[in-house]
Amino acid sequence: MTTEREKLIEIWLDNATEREYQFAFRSALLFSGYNVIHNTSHTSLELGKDVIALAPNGEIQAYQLKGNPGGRLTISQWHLLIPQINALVYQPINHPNIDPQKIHQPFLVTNGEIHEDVAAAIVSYNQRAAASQPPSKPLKTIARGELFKIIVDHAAKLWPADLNLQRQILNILASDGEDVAPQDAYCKLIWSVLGIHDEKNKFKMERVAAAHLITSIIVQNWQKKNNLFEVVRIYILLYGAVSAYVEKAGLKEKAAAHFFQEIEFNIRETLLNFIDWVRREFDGKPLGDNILIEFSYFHLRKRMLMGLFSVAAMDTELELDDETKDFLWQFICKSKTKKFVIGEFIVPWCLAVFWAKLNLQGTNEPVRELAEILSTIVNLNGLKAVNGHIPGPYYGPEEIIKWKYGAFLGVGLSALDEDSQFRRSWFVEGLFYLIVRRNYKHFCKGIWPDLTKFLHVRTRLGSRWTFGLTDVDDSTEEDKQIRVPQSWDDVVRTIEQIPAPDLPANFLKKPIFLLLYCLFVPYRCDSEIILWLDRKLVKSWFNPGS
Amino acid sequence: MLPRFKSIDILFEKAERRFVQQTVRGDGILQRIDGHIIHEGKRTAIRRPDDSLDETDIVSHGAEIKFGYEEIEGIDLPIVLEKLRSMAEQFKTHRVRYLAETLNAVTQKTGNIHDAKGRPLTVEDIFSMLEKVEINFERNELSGDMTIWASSQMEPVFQRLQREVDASPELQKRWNELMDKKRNDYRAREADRNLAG
Repeated sequence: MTTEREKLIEIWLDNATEREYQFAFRSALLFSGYNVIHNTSHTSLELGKDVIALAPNGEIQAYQLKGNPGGRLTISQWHLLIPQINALVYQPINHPNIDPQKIHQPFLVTNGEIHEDVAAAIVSYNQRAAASQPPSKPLKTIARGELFKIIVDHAAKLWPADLNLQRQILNILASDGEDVAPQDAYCKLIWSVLGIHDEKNKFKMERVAAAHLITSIIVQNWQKKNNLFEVVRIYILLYGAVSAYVEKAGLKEKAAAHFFQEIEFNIRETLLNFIDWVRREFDGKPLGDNILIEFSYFHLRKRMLMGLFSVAAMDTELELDDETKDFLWQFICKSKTKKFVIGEFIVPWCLAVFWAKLNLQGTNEPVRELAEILSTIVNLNGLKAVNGHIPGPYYGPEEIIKWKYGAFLGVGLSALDEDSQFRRSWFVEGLFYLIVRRNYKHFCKGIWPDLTKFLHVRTRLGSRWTFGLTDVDDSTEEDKQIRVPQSWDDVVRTIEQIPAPDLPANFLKKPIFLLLYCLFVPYRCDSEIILWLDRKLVKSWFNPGS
Repeated sequence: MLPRFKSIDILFEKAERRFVQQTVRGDGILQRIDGHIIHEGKRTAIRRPDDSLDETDIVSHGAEIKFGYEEIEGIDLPIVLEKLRSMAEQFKTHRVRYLAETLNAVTQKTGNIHDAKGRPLTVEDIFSMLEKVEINFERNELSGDMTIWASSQMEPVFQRLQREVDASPELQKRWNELMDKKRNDYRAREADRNLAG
């Protein structure tokens, strides 16, 4: 353990709220042999328990986490906490996997110091608890020093002592939490931590734990600014990297499940908090802070949020209250967006909205909207002039907007000026097949001649495990030509014959996380994935599911 | 917070500020006044040859633009530029008014005023005004670096006065004498700049 690492963890912990250190704390438990048991949402059912874990000795432990960054838990805070502490200590754990007769060990965890008055109050509280009926175990505490030790001891075992890695971590920590998270830098860091490109590297659980811990430190930058959209981005990229690592090692699905559960829990919790924040701040109001500055991505951002919230709406494991469900329905089905197809990266976000709308409303409007997106790309990329093209999914919003408004912004030449998309597209084939599947024969016949002139592009990966990586050397850009002539029946047969995608097991098991990954890594979303997700996410007479 | 693309925000903020500044300077009197940036501190002053210090007032101007919800939903660059133009016009009005007020205050203070008291402008008024002002001939040897700032509605009046001068040999002579005097005054001032001895 180097001093730098210890100092970094100390600074991070002393600035963290309970939400910010929860992931690292759970990871420390998990990788110390505890079985962390999850609830999928923070509801009153949790009854004062943030984390529930089965200790290696078989004891059930319940933890209430509190954030007192850089301070101490005072007696007045303790008095305010008593209702939650009562629930933590006295209420049995209500979870299907836990015997309600078994008495749990309650813990109060804080990253601050515990004031002497509070320590005395806890002793007195425990004396009363010892005499209670039914019996309960005394409240134990984990304060700053012990919490720091748990995390540092955990880190000592797993954090690679590599100066280059430390530098990469510091670079990301220096990023602006109000900006887009540095996706490439983060991925490269996590791949190094996992040793993903090291052929001699055998699978080590400690490396996954290190990736979790480093991510919880890094993500604080964006959590502090309540930039939850970027927090979701970081977690899903971690999910992809860990899936690549696990798949490459050939780990059995069951053995790997708990690595993903932790990240899934974080993603769901972040999504819920984000939806709740948007609902409180913007319900019925234009979705913007400074419209003069943000106008170039006003509609685009709205569409991206619709896509993200669509994922939440379709996630059957996410427990949503009626108010949130109503808000999501309104937001996804009633928001108006225009001119958002500025790049093909937006297509997966639109597909998420498409599938959610098909599940939420019973009209053909989602199909019409999909047909419009398809027509837009075919029409614009059918023109020779590069400046009218819809750039491919490797270009993100920032590059495209700078290119599009370059003259006004005074920005010089862009790579996009040299990257012609004339009769090329990553997504129109997949979109076309979705519309064929819904039997919109007239529209399909109309667009078919143009579609057959296009090259349909995909990146074919050399190995299945690399799907979870955002940049893969062992891959081929495939430009596919559509065979002509074909009849309607031929096209329908083609769709039926498209194979299921060859993906890491956890993505096949959790299509909702596959979709979320494709939002942030859009160039991985090829026709096979689109058609497979369509079957998984929409159940209908023509789409019975599998 | 809502997701943001800060590098784009920064670029638009700079480009929009540039656009407003250029529009404010526009094609009127403000365009004819050289501007400079105060790089440090928040005050500026002129120290005169007699060692007196004239602090220049720095005033802030505000502008207001409104967006209806409907407008926000239809937002695009042309709408933004229209709003910025409206903002720039408000700034321009404030600045021009402030310039006029400042000139008025300074001339009141020095007494360097010719007041026509609301009657129609005459050639005599022009002569009287020109006699009071200092004219430099550094950049324009013929007619000097001189700007007459007036309402655009006064253009026909000035054209009429010009015709009056052109038609009268006596006025022309007075004009030439006045300009010669101004040139001599200028030369004398310039001669004072020679480092004697």
